[in-house]
Amino acid sequence: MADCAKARALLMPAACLVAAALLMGCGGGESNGTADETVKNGEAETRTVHHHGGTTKIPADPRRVVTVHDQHGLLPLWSLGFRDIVGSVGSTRDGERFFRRMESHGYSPSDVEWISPWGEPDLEAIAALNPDLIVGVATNEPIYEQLSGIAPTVLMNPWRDAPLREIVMDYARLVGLEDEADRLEAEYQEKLDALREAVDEPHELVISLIGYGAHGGAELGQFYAVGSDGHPVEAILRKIGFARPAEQLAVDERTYYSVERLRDHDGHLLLRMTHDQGSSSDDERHSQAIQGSPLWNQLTAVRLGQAIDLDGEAMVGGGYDPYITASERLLEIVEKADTSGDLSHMVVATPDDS
Amino acid sequence: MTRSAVTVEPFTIPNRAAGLAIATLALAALIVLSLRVGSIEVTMSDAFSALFFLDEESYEQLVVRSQRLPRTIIGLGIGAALAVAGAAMQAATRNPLAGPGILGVNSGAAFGVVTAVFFLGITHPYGFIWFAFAGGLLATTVVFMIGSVGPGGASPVKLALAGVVVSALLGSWTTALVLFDEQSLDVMRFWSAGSLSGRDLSVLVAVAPFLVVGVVVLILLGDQLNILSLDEDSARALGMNTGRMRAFVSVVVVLLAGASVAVAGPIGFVGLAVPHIVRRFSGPDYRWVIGYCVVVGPLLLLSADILGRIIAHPSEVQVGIVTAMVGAPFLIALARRRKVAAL
Repeated sequence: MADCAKARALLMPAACLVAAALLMGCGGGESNGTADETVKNGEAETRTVHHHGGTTKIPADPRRVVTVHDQHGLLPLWSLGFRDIVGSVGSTRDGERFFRRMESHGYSPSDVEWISPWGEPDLEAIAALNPDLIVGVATNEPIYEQLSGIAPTVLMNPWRDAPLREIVMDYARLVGLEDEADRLEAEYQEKLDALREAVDEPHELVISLIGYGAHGGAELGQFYAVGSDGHPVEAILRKIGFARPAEQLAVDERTYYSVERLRDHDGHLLLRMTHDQGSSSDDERHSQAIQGSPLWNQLTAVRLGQAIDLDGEAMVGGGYDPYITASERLLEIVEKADTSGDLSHMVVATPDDS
Repeated sequence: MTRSAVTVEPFTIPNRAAGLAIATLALAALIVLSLRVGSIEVTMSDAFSALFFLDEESYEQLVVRSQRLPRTIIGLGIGAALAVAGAAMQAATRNPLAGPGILGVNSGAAFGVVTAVFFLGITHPYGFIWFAFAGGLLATTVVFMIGSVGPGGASPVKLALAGVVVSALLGSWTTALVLFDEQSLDVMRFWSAGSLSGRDLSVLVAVAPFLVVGVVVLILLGDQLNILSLDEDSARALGMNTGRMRAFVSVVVVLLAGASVAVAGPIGFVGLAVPHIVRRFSGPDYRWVIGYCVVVGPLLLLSADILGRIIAHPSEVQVGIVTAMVGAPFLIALARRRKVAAL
């Protein structure tokens, strides 16, 4: 009996470990930022988080966070109301250091230290900030070990195939702001409902979404369709069920087209993503190559006066802000849309067809 | 006897003229193809109408007139300029692997543009042209200054080495500037691989005087290039001031290559490969080599451009990438099958 008890005592921890491992394994292919448990470890409480880079113990209440991506690290945390961020990577423009997309959403993170360009995280500068949590993204995987050597590091994957709510909740759980994430989700759903109510028959309104400019990787004289790869505007257009150029619904990822193909990307509305903040010379050159072409003036949307620029700076990035901004702007646009133009020269489809 | 004569001297004037005529006919056919082939189909009738009886309501005709005609004309000008510049450079440096890039023209032009954007905030595309030009000219001047140091003046080997050093230096400075400013990085993309797409014909018009004067001067200098391509002692024995002539030819090359880079960005291998191709038909006489280059340069460049429109449908591959992809194996094959033709 005593032997049995001894054996049970020995086996119990092992069984717990196996069960924990199984639970972790059942958590799905790519679970991000999932907090398992909160443990009081000495003086500081910690939580175990499963994320893109693995499993990490992080402070239950982080106070010195460094983000290793601005628009998918700093922005989603900041938009949840989290302010204990001591530093972030960013970008440069005209010699000025800044964090992408923050200004477009009215944020001024003046107390956040600019670390280095986002493509080249400066590990020494990160260590100098003495962070208690580092939030990176999947593309930081090559430096995950070094980052983990500085402080507990979690890698988020905002590009994975998952609902927006799930992705934002990953960030919210890291900093204990799940309620704020729920509130933003409700606000976003309200905006979508308003958009649905504004258009009786979304299948009869053909909306094309294109972009051009070096920011999107397009060469001069080319434009691109963003495909189904998680762009906020594209996601909303598909969600509401607007009719689209068939070509745009058929592509899964950003696809580039010669300007000669503009006609196939016509619509009642032609929405063009712009990213000309601070790069006007570049934007002017690309605009001239597309909008300066007589092919542009042949488009039905242009003839209807419904070729409209969207501020891409405010409609990309992590968190709900880009989605809420995009749905508000789309509502303004579709409420006034004229559907009288002839589109017989192109193939139209709806998300249901694709 | 006839056979023997042909074997000994295949590069007779009739043969060369016939070859040039065939190349010209091929170029004419390629121009038609360039107007018809692309992302959308264009009939022969639409292509013809677009040139002479444009119907502004016809999308296809507008494609030809607004897109394909300008890029075809730019291809003709740039192709000829690069090929002629390459041939002249090979003669001036007596280096069979020389091209316009060896004098630092490409890296100088790129550095000029990034400097203009970063330090001067130049925003208009026309501004880039002159900075590309100035950068190319400055780089070449520095290459000549370095290459002329020491006994013997500007020897081919010293010039080539100086070109490599200056290109590397300018390349590192350009990279450093780009790292400080993402806006410069965006602009730099334009200069990373040459393309004929989306280029404004008015930019070609702006640099056309340089192209025309450069090509005409080098055609007229055919005899001098023949002498310059001999060894140093022979050229001097024939009364040539080789240093002065080499410097003059290089200035003309910079005009041609700088103008080309300003319009279309850096396009490699045309200046390098075309002279080697044409020597198989023209022989080593630079009076003919230059003439052939005027025709075969555009032939190669337009072929690469058309290929680039097809292989990545619905997008396009920049012509600079196609010439590099096709040109590199071609040169390796050329070097393996037959020793590089005598200059």
